[in-house]
Amino acid sequence: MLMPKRVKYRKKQRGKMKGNAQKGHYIAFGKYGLKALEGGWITSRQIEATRVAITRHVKRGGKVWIRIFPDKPVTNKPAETRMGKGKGSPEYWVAVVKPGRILFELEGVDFDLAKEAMRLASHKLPIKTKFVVSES
Amino acid sequence: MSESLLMAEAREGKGKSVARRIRRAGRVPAVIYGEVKQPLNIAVDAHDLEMKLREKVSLFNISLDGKEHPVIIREIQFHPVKSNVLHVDFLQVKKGHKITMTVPIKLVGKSEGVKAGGVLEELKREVTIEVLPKDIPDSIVVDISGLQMGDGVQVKDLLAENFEIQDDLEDLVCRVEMPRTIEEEEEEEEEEEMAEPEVITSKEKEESES
Repeated sequence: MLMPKRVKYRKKQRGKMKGNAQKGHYIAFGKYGLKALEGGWITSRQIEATRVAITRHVKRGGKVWIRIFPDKPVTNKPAETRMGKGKGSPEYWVAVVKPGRILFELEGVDFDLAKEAMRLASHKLPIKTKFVVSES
Repeated sequence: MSESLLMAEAREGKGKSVARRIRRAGRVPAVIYGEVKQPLNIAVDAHDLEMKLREKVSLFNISLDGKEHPVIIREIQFHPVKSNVLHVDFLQVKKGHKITMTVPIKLVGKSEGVKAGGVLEELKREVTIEVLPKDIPDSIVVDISGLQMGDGVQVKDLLAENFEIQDDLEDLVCRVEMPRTIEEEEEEEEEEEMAEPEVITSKEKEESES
């Protein structure tokens, strides 16, 4: 699963997700893409499940690009613990996604196969998405 | 080369509030620069522009205050979510003066390698060319039907008619690759333990500094 190799700090604050994606909002590598229509946190498990869904459907051929990276640690407190005593320990990693961000790209397959693969992929994600095709 | 007339009107004022007002009125803020002395702030009809963009028009004649400006599109800004046009940069061109611009590469045919189960990888979708305004091509067409597995098309293989290619001639445009098999993917799927990454600003480091 995706996660950083080394980080400056173990824990991060939650932050805000204001506005739309200002980068990574166009198809840069492949021909087809999956665009986020909402903002949210995508966990590394969800990214992996989506990638598997795409590659399983495409089977042979095709090339997949993952355009997001989970670089934000999310902490949890253990169950049945009283409040206080500091922030919990990092449990999993998320990618912060804003509306408009291209999440995945695909190439080397025909339109119908790509659209179906992205439809299956979208069911693995916690946000609304849209299938997009490169202009060029 | 396709050429088209686009009606425009001069735009008063600058800034996001003016631009937003123009967009609400169904128009797109734009600018003309290049051969004109001063950049011209204009607004064009959004629907008209979108129609022209779908037709893949490369050279526009912008009609502004009874005067025509031959222009090409230098840059377009799209809305990240809705994908509608937010702003257009038009570059005014002059007859007989060469311009540098990018044109799309169009691959036609189905290669032998793809028929044999290969994957066509497009590495370059646009190429930068130097061309006279009258010779601007809509696209550069490449026939890939003869490509075998492992073969590729380089920039130097493109047919350059009436224009010069500015990109590196050794660059690959596309190639036919062997597909990755499903077994390879399965290996990668093995569940990994969520190990903690190395922390650069660890306490040991801080102690050694103090």
